[in-house]
Amino acid sequence: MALPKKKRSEINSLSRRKFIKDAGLTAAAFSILPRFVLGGKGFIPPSDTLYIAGIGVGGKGESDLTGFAKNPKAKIVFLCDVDDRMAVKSKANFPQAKYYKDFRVMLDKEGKGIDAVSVSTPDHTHAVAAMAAIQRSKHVYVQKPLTHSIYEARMLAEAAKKYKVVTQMGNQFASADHVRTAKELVDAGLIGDVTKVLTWTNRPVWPQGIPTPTGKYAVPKEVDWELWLGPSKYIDYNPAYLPFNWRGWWQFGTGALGDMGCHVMDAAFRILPIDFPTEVECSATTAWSDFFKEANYADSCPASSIIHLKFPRKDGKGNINFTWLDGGLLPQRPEELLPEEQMGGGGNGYIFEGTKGKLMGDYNMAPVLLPTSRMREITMPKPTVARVPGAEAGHYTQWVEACMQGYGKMEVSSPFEYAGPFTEAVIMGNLAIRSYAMRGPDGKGYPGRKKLLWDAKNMKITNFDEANQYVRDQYREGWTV
Amino acid sequence: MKEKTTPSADSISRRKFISTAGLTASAFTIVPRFVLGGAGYKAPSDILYVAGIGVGGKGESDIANFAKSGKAEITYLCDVDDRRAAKSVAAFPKAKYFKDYRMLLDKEHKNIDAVSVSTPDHNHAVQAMAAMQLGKHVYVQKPLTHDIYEARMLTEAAKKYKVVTQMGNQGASGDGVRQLTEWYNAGTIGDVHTVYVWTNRPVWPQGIAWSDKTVPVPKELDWDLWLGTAPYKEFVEKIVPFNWRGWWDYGTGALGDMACHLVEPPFRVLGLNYPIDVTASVGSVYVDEFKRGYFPESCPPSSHIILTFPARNGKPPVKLHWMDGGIQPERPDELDANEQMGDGGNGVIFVGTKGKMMCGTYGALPSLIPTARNKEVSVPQTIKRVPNGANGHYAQWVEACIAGYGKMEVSSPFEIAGPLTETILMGNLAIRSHDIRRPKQDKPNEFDYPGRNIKLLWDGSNMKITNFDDANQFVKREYRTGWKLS
Repeated sequence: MALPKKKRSEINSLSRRKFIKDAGLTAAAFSILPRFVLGGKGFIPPSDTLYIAGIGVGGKGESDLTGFAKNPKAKIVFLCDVDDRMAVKSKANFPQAKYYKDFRVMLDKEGKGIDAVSVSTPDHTHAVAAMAAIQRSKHVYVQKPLTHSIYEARMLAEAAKKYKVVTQMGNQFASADHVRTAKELVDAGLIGDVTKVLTWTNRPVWPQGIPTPTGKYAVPKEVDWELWLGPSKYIDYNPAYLPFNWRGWWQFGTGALGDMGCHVMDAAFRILPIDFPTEVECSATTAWSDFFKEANYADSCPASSIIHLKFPRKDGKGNINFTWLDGGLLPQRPEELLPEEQMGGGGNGYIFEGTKGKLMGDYNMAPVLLPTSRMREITMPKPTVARVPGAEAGHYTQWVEACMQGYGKMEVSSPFEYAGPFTEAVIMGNLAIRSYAMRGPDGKGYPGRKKLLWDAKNMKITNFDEANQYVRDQYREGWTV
Repeated sequence: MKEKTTPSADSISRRKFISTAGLTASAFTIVPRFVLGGAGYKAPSDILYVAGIGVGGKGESDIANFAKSGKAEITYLCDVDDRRAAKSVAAFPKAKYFKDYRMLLDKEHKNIDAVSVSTPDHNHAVQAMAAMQLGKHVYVQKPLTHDIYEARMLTEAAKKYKVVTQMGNQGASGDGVRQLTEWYNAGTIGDVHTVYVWTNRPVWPQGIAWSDKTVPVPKELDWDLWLGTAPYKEFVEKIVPFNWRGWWDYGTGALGDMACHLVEPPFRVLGLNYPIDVTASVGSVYVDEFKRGYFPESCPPSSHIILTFPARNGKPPVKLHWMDGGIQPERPDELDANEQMGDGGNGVIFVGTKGKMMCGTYGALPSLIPTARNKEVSVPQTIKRVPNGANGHYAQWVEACIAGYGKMEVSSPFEIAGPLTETILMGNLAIRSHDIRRPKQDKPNEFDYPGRNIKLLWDGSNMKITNFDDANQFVKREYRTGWKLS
């Protein structure tokens, strides 16, 4: 017998919870529904089904949901998007899922029918959406970068612990074999102690370092612009931002770092004994509007940038100097590399420099020792790090499984405990870039063009107070994390 | 006395007294001394008759500085743009004005001792070479030339014709580079293996499309002469007087603009010569989502060049990083978080086995780092300073010309400035190799970029990239028909 869509998922979910021993779920009393109500071909008992709501279901959000659904235990029961156009494909993929435009309304009304939430909105709304879900004890999967600001990343990591929910950031290569192989090579001592890390990306692959879009445009009827802005300050709708280019504007996006840092820097962050940086500095390609006329495109992320972070090693063996380059800029080619050998994965890559050698790789490329001929000379270390079934494609399924098992029962590749500090470190670069771009009093000088010292515990730049405005975003009235 | 004949008589008589082996020109006549007498009179042998080619902007200040030495007389002015010449014409009312340097040299070479070249980069070499072949001493603005090949040819010509040469990187005469050399020679920072150089230039848009705004050529400008060696193009708005710097047909980008000031200190202090390899990456320009702009005629908005110099005289190989367009090297740990690096916008950091030192543009603000070391270290002055430092660069050349070839040392003779310029232009060769593309075999609308993300190996003595032949097109340009360097 067919129940109304909404009702059925709600029922499924309620009944299922009875069977999940999840200390984090302290919700209302449960009732048991007879099994036959739910039966049929390919039937899976409710306790084995994860009911997922997707917030932001176009593009990456769409593929995330299909990634979860590949696990027969996951069921996509609600879809939410502020732009109907972006939701079209997901609606077709999951015709039974009820569609909302406002995640707050969805969570309020349907909270009981949801076990887990996937957030794949523009960066500036990740935190509010994820936090609302976590506070309702929903497990969450959040696209990278975890958040738009450092403060939000800290808050989400703390909330994940407090509410005991299973969390995963959407840097799916954290589940790939490559990073595990790299860890085994480093752990085997093949490059000694790492002192320096170089990372780079060819992103952004869209215009940055450009003037703020202007003009008055009618909001497309499919878009709820107020909701799209979410916690961010009101500005007029402009087609320049949707659906993709918001990435290059500080108000919404996190530039090349936000886009690729969580992939390219993951190996270093995962393998090396580091968490919070103590120093950051940057420089960026200058935009010129005319001769001798430096442009002030403060709203736009830069066309290219170089970031230097310093991490104290947690094992007390000194510091690791960490460099990031984007927008086409490359680090120095290692001497060990032949003149025409490819550096990194082509467009992106990392190089670890240790006291006894160098390791080169990319998030989607098998790591190699340098010179690459060394790979023929060594015996590969025995696999000591468990592989994720399905590797990067298994990142979604892994989270589904972990949610089913409940908080603390199964390891995931990129829980907020890891992804929070990691994201903080990634977007420290953005804090430095925005400080670098700041003009002094009367528009003269650049007071932020220096090394910034970071007090991670207190989330504070200690030698340039103006930089601290970039630690935490100012939300609009009515929005909170 | 008519202006026109004054320099002629003076110059011819003066030459009699200068023993310059390079001057094999026609027989001399002696003009009686009283012909030239008067208040402030100087013996003709003590006056250098200078013709300026390109006399606006930097050209204007160069010749004004020669004149200030009190030993030079600016007797001819040449510019393809009357508007650019206006100030110099007013400053030197007796000097005869030409538009075409070829006519100037043909007609007046007997009355000229020395030539100052301060035109756009693409015409430096042909103008300087024409002057040298007539036995004229030359002062050429930086960068010495547009191409590597041209720099090599000018360097050889300076020797062959035995003329006094100076490139216009006036910091080479500054005290700063001499202080840095003394520290280095004294072993204060040990052996240097890495050098970081950066500039905030270009300070104009690069990585852009060629303007389609063709406008009528201003009546004061001879556009065909301005183009000179460069391929013919319709005149576009704003390309003169300054924008040409950012276009490969004429200019040499940020490297050409600033590297002669900034790479000069490491080049001189460390005794560098031709590099053995070069790599480049550039700040990309995207015109739309997933659509990278392709502007091979325009210099890039930023670049990161790395050159390797081989071990020499028992010193280790050196990696020299060049960064422009706003990007900078990592701040040395020895520098306090709030201390200025270089001169703010530009700088050089020398990394040695026993310490580090830095300076700003022109080798100014030399400093050991940590900066506290400046007080602790005292190295005796062993290198002679140029009177008036960088400002004395002009008078030094004037005096050396009067003294004659081989008689007096100058700070930036082509012997040094040539290899320095070649080195700098290696960066441009690598940048331009970056834009070489070939259609993909299966997808003719998509391209491979074989010159990206590789190291180019340089055979300096044969002026050849040995592992990527396409790059060799940037060693030597094709001149427009009718122009040659000989």
